[in-house]
Amino acid sequence: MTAQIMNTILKILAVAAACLGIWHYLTYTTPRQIDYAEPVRDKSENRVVKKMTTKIGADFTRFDTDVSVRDFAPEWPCFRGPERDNRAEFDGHLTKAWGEAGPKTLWRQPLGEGYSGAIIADGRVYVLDYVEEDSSDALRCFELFTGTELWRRGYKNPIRRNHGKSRTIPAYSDGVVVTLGPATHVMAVDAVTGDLLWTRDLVGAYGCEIPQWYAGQCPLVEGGRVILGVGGEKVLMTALDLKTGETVWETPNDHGLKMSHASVLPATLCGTKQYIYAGIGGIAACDVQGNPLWTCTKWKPAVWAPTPLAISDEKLFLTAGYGAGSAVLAVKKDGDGFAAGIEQEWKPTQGPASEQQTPILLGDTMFAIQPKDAGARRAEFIAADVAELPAIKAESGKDARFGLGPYIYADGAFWILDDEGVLSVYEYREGRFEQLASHKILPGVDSWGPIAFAGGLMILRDSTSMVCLDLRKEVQP
Amino acid sequence: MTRRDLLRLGFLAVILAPFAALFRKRTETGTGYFWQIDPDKCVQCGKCETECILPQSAVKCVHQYASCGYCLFCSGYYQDKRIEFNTAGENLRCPTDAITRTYVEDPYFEYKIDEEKCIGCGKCVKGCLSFGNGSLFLQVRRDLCKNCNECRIAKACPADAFVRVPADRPYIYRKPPEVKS
Repeated sequence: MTAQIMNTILKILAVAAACLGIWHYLTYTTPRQIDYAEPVRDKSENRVVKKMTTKIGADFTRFDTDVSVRDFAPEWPCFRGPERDNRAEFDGHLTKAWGEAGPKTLWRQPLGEGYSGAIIADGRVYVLDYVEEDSSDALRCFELFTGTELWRRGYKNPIRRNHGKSRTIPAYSDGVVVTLGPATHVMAVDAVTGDLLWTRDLVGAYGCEIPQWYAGQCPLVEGGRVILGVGGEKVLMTALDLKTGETVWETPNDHGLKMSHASVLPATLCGTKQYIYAGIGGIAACDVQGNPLWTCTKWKPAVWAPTPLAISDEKLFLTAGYGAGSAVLAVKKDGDGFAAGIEQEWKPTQGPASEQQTPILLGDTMFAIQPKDAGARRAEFIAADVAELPAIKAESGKDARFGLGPYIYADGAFWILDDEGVLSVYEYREGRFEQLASHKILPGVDSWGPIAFAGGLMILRDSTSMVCLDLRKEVQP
Repeated sequence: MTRRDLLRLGFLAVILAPFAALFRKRTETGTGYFWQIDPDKCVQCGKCETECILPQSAVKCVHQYASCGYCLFCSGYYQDKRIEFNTAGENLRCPTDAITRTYVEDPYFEYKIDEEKCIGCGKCVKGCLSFGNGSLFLQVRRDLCKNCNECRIAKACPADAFVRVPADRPYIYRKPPEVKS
């Protein structure tokens, strides 16, 4: 009896142990270390973004010089030139056959580290520089033919080097030069005397954020107004009176777009004049009174530097770096308003794209330098028919790569500056690029500042210096 | 010297020749050369991760700080379709979370490679080159590499980026950018 009971107990225990074992096997997980990739692991909660409060335009220096300013009518008054298309009008002929010495150099000037391009107006050159020794942004005015500095107006702006400091190009109109500094300080001065006219701090006024690597937007001046992409808490774009700085209109920022490195594009689409701004988070347009027309948030690169390019009456070519590639945005009439949508998009390996510079449109052909992540065509100068995008129909070839450098079209040829300061002239004929000349003009690196050209004179810059070339055929040695 | 003496001397030289190697100046690893990746030739194909004979590749991403921009937006750290600029896993390019990002002071962030986690896939290197300065690149770590006579990754490398370098100078650096200011 006892043995039977013991036997039963042992059987029950055995079954219980087996059940326990199975249960343990099914439910037990080997303990292992799991590191969760939480959103804040970089101590960025301690980040303090320094507020750049400064008295804009407070500092002025006039230089003692006997140099007089010559009358010189041709202008390059703003980013991408008089028509904002990077195409230069020139009546004469430019030298395209350079000897060992290269084209004639008029003068050179050292600059603070950056990429800000120059403008040319009324025989003067203006550049918004960063003066390291003063920790200041400064609008510097030079006499065009000698490079003699006439005056500079600036303000303290103690920022740290972040891939250079200066990035923006001033705008000239009706005797006024308008600048937008690295920390979004806007300043308008008299173009001749350097007198301060008005200022505005966009961060303070609109609650916008200073873009990564500082502001790169170049102000648009049109019809006596300064039009800026703000990307603020409430305002997307604003127009300020050129002479007084008073607000003329503001466009609401309903989609929360932020300030990018692109500039406001004036264009007529579907028969309506529009101001178009490509911000971080999307692209939007308003009419000339600031009334919103359309917004598209379907294409939003992380970094947006090239300004959109109008390739037809209804289409914009959008492009950006960091793998974003390009897109074609179509704008259509929609009842009383407009509708915009992405019609095509492609990666930089599949078609035309640009990381930094805005492409040039000549007729139906678009020209650009491919970005670094464009595969075999990286950094090559390419041509594409806008009706057949994304097909590329010509390229400069693997031995002709230009990095992130700027380029313009003048006297029937493309003038392309590469990263290392080599200026090359290319002709595009019958679907092929042909090099006409090439010469190392600048000593330094990162020669990314856009080119200015007026009346045969060309201003180029690298990261720390600026040079003026006289390319007129008749003055060559 | 007779012909017999000459033969004896020759025979002795043959016997003693291998011992002469004992007096040769030896390098740390015992060989004069070491496999290394030329960063300018590397195309980040991913074979370094999969072809190495070790369970975890001896190829690691290294960071050349002199070339780094210390940016808030690092294209080696953040993947193309990142949602936000923060350290959450879904935003990161590295599949093993081997890059540590630390805020230094505005506007700078420092990026460090955790070599225990790095599998040498080269994704961050590709990202860095697509937009940044190229401060991230792949190198064979000398302390991990078995220095095989015939490196399997070198055989598989489509860009001929594997080269032999002197063992006392086993790493190849990128040229740092010039700073003139």
